[in-house]
Amino acid sequence: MKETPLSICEKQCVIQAVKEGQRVDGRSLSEQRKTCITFGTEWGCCQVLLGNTRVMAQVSCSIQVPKSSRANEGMLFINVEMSTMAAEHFEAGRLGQQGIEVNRLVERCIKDSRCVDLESLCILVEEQAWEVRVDIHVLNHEGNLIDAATLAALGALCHFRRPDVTLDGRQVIVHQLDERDPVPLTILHYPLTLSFALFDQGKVYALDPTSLEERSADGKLVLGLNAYRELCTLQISGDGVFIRKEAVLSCANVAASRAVEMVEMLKKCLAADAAERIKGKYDGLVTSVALEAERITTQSQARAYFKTPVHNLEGNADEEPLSVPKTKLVKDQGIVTLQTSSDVSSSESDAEMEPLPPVPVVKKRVYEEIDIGNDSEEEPVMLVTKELT
Amino acid sequence: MSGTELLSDQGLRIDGRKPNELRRIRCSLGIFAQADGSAYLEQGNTKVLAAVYGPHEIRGSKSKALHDKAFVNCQYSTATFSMGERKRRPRGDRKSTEMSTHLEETFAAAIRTELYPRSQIDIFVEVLQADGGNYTTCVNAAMMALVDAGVPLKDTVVSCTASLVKDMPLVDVNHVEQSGGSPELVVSILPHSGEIVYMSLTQRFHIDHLSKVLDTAIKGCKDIGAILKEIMKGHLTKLDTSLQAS
Repeated sequence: MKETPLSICEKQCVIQAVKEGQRVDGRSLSEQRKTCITFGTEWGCCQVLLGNTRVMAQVSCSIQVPKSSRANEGMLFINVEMSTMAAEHFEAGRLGQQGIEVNRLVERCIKDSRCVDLESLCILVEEQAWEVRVDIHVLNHEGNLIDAATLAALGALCHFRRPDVTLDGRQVIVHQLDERDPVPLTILHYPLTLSFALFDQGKVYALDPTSLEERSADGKLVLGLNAYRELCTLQISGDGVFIRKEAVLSCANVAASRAVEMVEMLKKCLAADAAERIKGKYDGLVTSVALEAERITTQSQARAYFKTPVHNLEGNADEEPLSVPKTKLVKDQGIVTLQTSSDVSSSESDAEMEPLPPVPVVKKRVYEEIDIGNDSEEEPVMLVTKELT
Repeated sequence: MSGTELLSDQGLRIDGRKPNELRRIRCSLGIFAQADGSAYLEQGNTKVLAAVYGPHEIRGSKSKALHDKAFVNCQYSTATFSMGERKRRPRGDRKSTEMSTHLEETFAAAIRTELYPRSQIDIFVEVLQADGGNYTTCVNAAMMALVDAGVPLKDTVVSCTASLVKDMPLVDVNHVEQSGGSPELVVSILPHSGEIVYMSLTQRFHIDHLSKVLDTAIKGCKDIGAILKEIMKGHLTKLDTSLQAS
């Protein structure tokens, strides 16, 4: 299916708002959406929720013959799958231009920056080595697929455990998971990407664009950074984008500080997951459902019953309006304060304040109780809350 | 390869150049009779052929037609004999498709596409020998082919690479320097305004070095732009004299 075309007024609204420093969803220009990272029951399964963009990555490994040019290293493959489930314009099976862009950027950020120590994946030089495969599935596209995909891939690689291997002379013994504990991969540094949407000839940039902002933008700047402020990858793309060198440098500085925060958050989520596994109670991806509890309410009793105040539209003659206490700005030794009539006694300039008018009696508000829950014929549904997990 | 081999103690690179020296550029225009514009460009050992057709009616799916501007179609292809090991698929694999997309975006920014609505401009690029800086040589060759074809441009596009070895920025990296593990920054700019149209970085370096390396790349672009301008002028004066003679 073709993507629904973006209307001109939508596009101009986004561009105008961004030029004024505001965004459609209320964020500031360098603010990211809410990020949730959850891990599955299998080792190496990670789901990232960036706003509404949802991406899942799974790592698997197998023993293969290493490449002849790099005989002492293992191999790392990254594969991105985008199905029509994520967005109506994605083709099932084939990766379109956008898919290839996401794939190449995740590869450049994670594979080319050599964050996974591939030499430790070698078993027998020139004969056997581990091939680690990261499969990234885009589940929902709401903008900024690249950041979500890189974060998911990195989380999955950090979470993954491969079977332990021992060498008996030249014979390789792969231990089962119940014989010996699986071994984690050696991660040398944590590279993440941060995307900016560029507007107005590169003068204005917005971090973590939604899909509406992406489509209205002139172009995109993707920066790959790790926690040590090292640039792992950088790409400016978009037809008709012009940007000056100073804009690139300022984006890089904003991104560097954000990258440090994101890596901290990832490490915290990994530690929390490890702690839960030790405790033994482990639910996997169901925990992500609980994190979004507000969205899964259906026919909840809490919403069905509420009170509304009754307003008398004709008005009542003997009901006087509430009076607002008189206020005055007072400058005292360089400090300006707002004094209300209640501070009259403490103020020195009594003569300037008028005496308080008598406070009128306000009629007690009448409330009407409305119950809409019982109208439906559906059975009461369980509400998923945090207490369940 | 370690850093000491890429940059010797005397400050010379592996091919004998100084850090701020470009490779030798040789170019000839108008080599194909069929295409509207064509160019052959050599930057050091990287050799690229470019051919431009357009603007013409959209071929294939009419759904790609844009109502207000021309649609730029690029095809990036590397010959099977271009690298050390024989390449099985000259085009259609992921890296080639990615390169094609980047070339399209670069030229869509430079060509005055608003003059030809509902049309298509084709740019075909073939890398005959790849020795580093494939994308940059392709951009420069395609730009010369566009000038030869007479397609209206907002400004010429020039591209250059830069790298960082032992805190010394190098300009115009070749294959050995690129695969040796040093970072490669590719920049395409419009030389008159100095605005960046495309930029990409592989490998990693600290963010504090970005400004230095970017400056080196932009200076390299401007130098290449000056050289290509001279070549263009030479070609056009030759064309002019041959037209006057006939």
